[in-house]
Amino acid sequence: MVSRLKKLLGQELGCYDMHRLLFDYAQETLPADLKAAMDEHLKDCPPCLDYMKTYRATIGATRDCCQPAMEMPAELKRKLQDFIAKL
Amino acid sequence: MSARVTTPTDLVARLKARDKTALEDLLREHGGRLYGVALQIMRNETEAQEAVQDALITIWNKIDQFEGRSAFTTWLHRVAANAALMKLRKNKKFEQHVSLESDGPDHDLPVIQLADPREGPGETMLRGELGNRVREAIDALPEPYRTTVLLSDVEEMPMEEIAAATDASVPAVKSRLHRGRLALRKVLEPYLEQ
Repeated sequence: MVSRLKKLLGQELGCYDMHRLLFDYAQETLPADLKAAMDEHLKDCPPCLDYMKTYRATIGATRDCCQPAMEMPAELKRKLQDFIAKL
Repeated sequence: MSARVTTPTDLVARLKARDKTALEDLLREHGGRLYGVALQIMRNETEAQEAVQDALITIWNKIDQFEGRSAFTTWLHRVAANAALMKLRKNKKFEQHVSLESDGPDHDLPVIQLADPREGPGETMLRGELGNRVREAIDALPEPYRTTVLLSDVEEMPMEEIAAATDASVPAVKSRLHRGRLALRKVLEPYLEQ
């Protein structure tokens, strides 16, 4: 994907290109030249900027809101203690 | 008697020395989180409990493979996540029929059906309500997107590890993760602060 889009360098990136590069942009795995081209596009395109921000906010909300529970049921504790004793 | 406080380094050393009391300490200090990781992936308490037991066996048998390249807690969570994933796959709950071609912005995304919120989004929305909405959306995300998003964005597993754990290629994992995020973004957009 990125290598194909590298051919775009030297041209102005469009909104479609932004969507193709969004994943690598958010992962911070985009090569510097493509990242700079993305930044340039985002600077002049409020809809793409909003889209990218909500994409990042989705990642943040997932991380913040889905931390697993921290309590082990008493039944499981007993089972595992029995299991350890038999090791 | 107060419980002994153990550092990760101490726990690893004792596990490697085959000290069974280290397993008890490990359960006391990390058992809740291991169960939480397994439950989030399995969504079934009985199966999650079995996965934790499987994880404990793996920790005991493979502790020598822990070389300290990641934090011990990260390694433990990955062992628990892998144990849960193996069970999901064994129970055929982790279906993998995903096209890699349809990767346009919102084209052919996995569909998330959410119940109507009691209150619409807005400035008055409490953080807890956003949390409920996000968890509901993740829960409604079809497999393999749901597990891929959880492993990457909650457990922070590297792509290569997710690929190995889910028996998929790295490009497939990236595609699933991206499409899962896009599907979540689509339903959560009204609630998200940019």
